[in-house]
Amino acid sequence: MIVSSLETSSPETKTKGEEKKKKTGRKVPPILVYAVLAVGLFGIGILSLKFGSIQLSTGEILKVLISGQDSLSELEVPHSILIWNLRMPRLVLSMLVGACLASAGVCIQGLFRNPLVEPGFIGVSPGAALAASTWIVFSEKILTFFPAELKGKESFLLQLCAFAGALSVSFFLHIVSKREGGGFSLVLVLAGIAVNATVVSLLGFLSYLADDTQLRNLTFWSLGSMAVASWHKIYLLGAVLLLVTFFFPVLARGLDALALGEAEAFHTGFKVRRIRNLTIVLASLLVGVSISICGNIAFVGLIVPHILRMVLGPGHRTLLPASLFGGALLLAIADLTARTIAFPSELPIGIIAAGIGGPFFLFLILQAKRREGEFR
Amino acid sequence: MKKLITLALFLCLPASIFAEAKELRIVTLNGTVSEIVFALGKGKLVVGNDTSSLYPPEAVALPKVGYQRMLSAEGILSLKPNLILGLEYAGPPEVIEQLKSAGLKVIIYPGLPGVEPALNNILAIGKEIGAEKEAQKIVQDIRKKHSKIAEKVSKLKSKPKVLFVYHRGTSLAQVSGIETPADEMIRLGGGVNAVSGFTGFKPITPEAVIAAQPDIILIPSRGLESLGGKDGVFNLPGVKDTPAGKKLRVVAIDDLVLLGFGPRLGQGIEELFESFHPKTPDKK
Repeated sequence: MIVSSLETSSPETKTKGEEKKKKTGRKVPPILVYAVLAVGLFGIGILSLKFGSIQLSTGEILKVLISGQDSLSELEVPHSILIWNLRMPRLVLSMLVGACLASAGVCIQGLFRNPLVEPGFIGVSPGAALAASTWIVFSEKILTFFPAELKGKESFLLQLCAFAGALSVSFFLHIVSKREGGGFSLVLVLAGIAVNATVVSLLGFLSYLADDTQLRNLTFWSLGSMAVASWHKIYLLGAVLLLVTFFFPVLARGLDALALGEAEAFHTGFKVRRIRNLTIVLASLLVGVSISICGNIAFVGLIVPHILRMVLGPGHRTLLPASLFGGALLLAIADLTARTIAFPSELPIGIIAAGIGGPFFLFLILQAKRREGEFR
Repeated sequence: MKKLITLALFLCLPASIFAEAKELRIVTLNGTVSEIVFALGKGKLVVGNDTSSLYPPEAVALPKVGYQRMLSAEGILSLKPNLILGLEYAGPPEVIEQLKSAGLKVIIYPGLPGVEPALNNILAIGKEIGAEKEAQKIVQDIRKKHSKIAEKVSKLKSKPKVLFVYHRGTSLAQVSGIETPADEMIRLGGGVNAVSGFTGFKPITPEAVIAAQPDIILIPSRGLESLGGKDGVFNLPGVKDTPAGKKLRVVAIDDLVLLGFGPRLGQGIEELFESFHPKTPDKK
């Protein structure tokens, strides 16, 4: 009953809300937003390189960055190693993961035409984490005839599995939401919760099968960490992100058209099915590979698009590229916090992200409720 | 942003306190390794350790670099160590690599349960930190205690079935199968592991507990604490219907003495033997 009432009322209220946003929301020119984000990224980059076990001055950082090495050889731990082996990989990885998750968030929200969904929230990231964990446990228990390089945590097959996991969850949710009319649907959120619950139970089952070392790897997926940063992983994730950004123009046009409604998009000449499939594949690729590298980090895909929509409006042509910068900025801040707040040990970054994201999500829900019509 | 800078500055202050270096500055990444270093009399060279380092009390007070499997390179570096000692559980592997690439001496010892591996680790660590004599002494002491008990064990006519319960909080209870530290210790102490059908740890089920028919429940002291004493053990599902539950036989031994395979290994074996066989005639 609730669902059907939502279905009938939501398309109108949604377009009304968007019109309102278009009129009042888009106060800031995109170029200014990009500039602010770029300056913010640069600033947090300097701070991240600065702080840690040994505090470096900005001059020292620049010297290492420009010359590639440092002049003082009698240092216990050379600054170049501190920067190039420890801090830079973490910084770059956290930025890349943030960019991937935030843009995947934009894609998935556009796809389901629901601003309150997020890869972690509706089960896409947990799906990726489950597939990755399954791979870790089973490749070492059952595929004993495999060469060692292809097994466990170090193999590229891990990324492939995580991608497949994310993809199957997205497709499943897509089918569910299509049956419900494709629009803003409570069923989608409920199906996401159901997927999440199933995934948690399957992860529990895996942890029963896993040995002690594997178990530690599994718990890592649920909290996320940037301590595993290495250049090899950065190249991999960077390549994936680069590949996806090539599709940004197509994605942006398609998602903008989808925002009008599927029938409208179809009648204005868009190949709706192709757009949807492309979005699902690309978003799953972003989520799957990021999750397989640094564990499940939730809420980035929710917070970043939301803030950006407030300042930029809902158009995907500016929203998608801005989310790259926004996600990078948010996760770089989260990682800096994670590794300095409990020094000399560190907090899992997922705790920081969810700690910011949970309350923010609550705030969004309450706001949406105040605007009435979007939520009941 | 300013607030963030001051916050970050504040957090980095402790790093600047540890300034001068020359002599050995050791970070230990494992409770047993910490215990070995302290037992060798080099405890004052330790500048930091992990959260599993719970003995001796001096070790507890040192700066913590996180749990041995969730380490952070920067955190360890901030203590300005020049020697890092850990067991093979230390990780994630990327962090160990990062520490090595920063030019630090990182030594990882095997973590196999067993008397010989334990003695080898003690000797190796003693050699590394310049305490070979002390290491020899500890090793001889453990050997003496071990062979004394081993002789007694070989004369035993019957060995009790022992169920090892690992328990933390109210939800997590597991029993030890074969190829675990607890399994090895039960054997050394003259008992038989009541569960032998699997390797590693499995969650406890009442059926399995009853089927195992243990004569004794063995539990680390901390686990006993988290259960709220011996009554908590008997209230575990199924325990009441076993010989151990009927005769109220629970043996609790300090975690690191029981499972650490460190310098107190000899003491652990003795304690176990005595509590498994309280009426043995030639008990000292």
